[in-house]
Amino acid sequence: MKDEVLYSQTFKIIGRDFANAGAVSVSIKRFLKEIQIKPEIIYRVSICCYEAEMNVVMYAMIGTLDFTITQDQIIIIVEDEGPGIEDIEKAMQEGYSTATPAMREMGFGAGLGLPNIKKNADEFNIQSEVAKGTKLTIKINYN
Amino acid sequence: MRVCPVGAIRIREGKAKYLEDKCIECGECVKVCTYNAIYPLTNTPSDFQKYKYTVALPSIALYSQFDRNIKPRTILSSLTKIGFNEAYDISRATISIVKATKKYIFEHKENKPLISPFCPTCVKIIQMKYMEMASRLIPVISPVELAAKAIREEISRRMKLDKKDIGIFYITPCSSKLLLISEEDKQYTDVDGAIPITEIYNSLYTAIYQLRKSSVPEIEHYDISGFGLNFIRTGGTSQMMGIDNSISVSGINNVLYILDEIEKGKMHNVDYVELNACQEGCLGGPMTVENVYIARSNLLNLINYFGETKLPIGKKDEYETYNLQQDNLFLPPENNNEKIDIKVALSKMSERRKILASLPKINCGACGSPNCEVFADDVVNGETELFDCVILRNLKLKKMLEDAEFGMSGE
Repeated sequence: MKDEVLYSQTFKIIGRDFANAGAVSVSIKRFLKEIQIKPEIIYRVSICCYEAEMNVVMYAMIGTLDFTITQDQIIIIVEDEGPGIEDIEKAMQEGYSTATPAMREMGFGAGLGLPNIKKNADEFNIQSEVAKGTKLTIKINYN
Repeated sequence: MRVCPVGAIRIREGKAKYLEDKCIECGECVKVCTYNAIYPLTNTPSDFQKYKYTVALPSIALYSQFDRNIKPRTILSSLTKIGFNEAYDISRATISIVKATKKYIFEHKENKPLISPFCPTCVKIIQMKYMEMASRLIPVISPVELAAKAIREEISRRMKLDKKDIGIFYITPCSSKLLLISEEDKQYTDVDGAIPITEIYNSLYTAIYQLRKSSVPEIEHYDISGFGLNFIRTGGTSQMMGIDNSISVSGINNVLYILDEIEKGKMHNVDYVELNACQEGCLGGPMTVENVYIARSNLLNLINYFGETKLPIGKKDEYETYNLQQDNLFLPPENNNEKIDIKVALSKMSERRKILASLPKINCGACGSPNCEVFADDVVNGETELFDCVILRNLKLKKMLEDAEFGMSGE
């Protein structure tokens, strides 16, 4: 069956937890390496995971990352409780960012996160409600 | 077995074996083996006879291996006494390389942190384990390659020799460079062969001693740059480039740690990361003779002695006509397009996790694999058996014994 779930795991992401930021992406990457997914795919998945994870860390209170493997696809769903995105179209533009100066000082907030995810995903969907939260669905074909 | 940072060594049937596809050529095993049982294969004298004219190209590390009264020109002169027609210094080439590197860093700030490409072991680690960082490696050739190119042209012009008849040999402290250069496939290098410092040391030392006793004048024309000598020191390339926003990391485990940090995205603010797999950089290479602390002291003395502490301005760059940047220099080879059978891979993984859970995880190494995790891998891949684990075997025996006793008393 095409959509049969072969593996799935849920990770918790905590907002403002800069000390552990990036950890989820790294564990997903390790996992994909272990099951010998092609490096090029791992590269794309880890960029998407990393950017999505950092968005949660920077802006939201709490979030989850659902990681699923089906027969053909790697599916990543990131859902958070946070401020939401006011203007999604704007947020998708390269260089647009609402990061604070403090975040920029840490080297984030170049306004490349969402565009970067879109570039690396085969299917990408974003839903957001202001003052509630954001949900990203990212699908990447691995074969 | 345990010193191997990537778990590439196994003990099978009482002998150490290494897995070539896992080896990153760091030379840690060469450094610790007190019996010198591990050594990379090197060039043989017959390789010399293939060429009409031979040139020694010593690594800067060679200068640091002798007593501080022995200066580079003596060392270079002595090299011509032990079978080479000429010897060349590469400290000027390092300056051109550093300039090119600095230029690249300033032009590619969007991809920071950029990573130094000069340690071949670090490049190999990145290609094997951190493939997505390969684009961060600065695609600049190494000073040895530059010097080799330049010398070959210069000699073929001066001596009217065919370029093929000139043999250029790198004298190196580095196991990885050694293997890189001695590979059959010469597409990545302009150097014809590599000789470890350890191999040449005794005859070179004798030659130096004789040269100092005799009245034969040393060749004085070597134009060595104290500034260029910094290149092989940890922190040397950052210092030469004058980039404040850089870090220098040496020692294989520190390198792995920093690569993990970059992987987590923690180095956004750093422009340049200098990586050296050996402690203190090339001075601590596995094929050195002198210990790394003395070598460092010697090198610092030499840098002072030559007294050129800043980038020499106004001096003609003899290498400026060469192309130092090479695109795609470090991109890993294309992978085959085999379809992945994800089900097999996943079941293998869960089996591996099950095995690992049953293991004692004290990493004793008695099974011949470096730790329990690697052992679990080896079991799943059918290279070894679960009951090669001494502790599991003991428990099993104990249980069998208990069962047997119970059986007897029951009768």
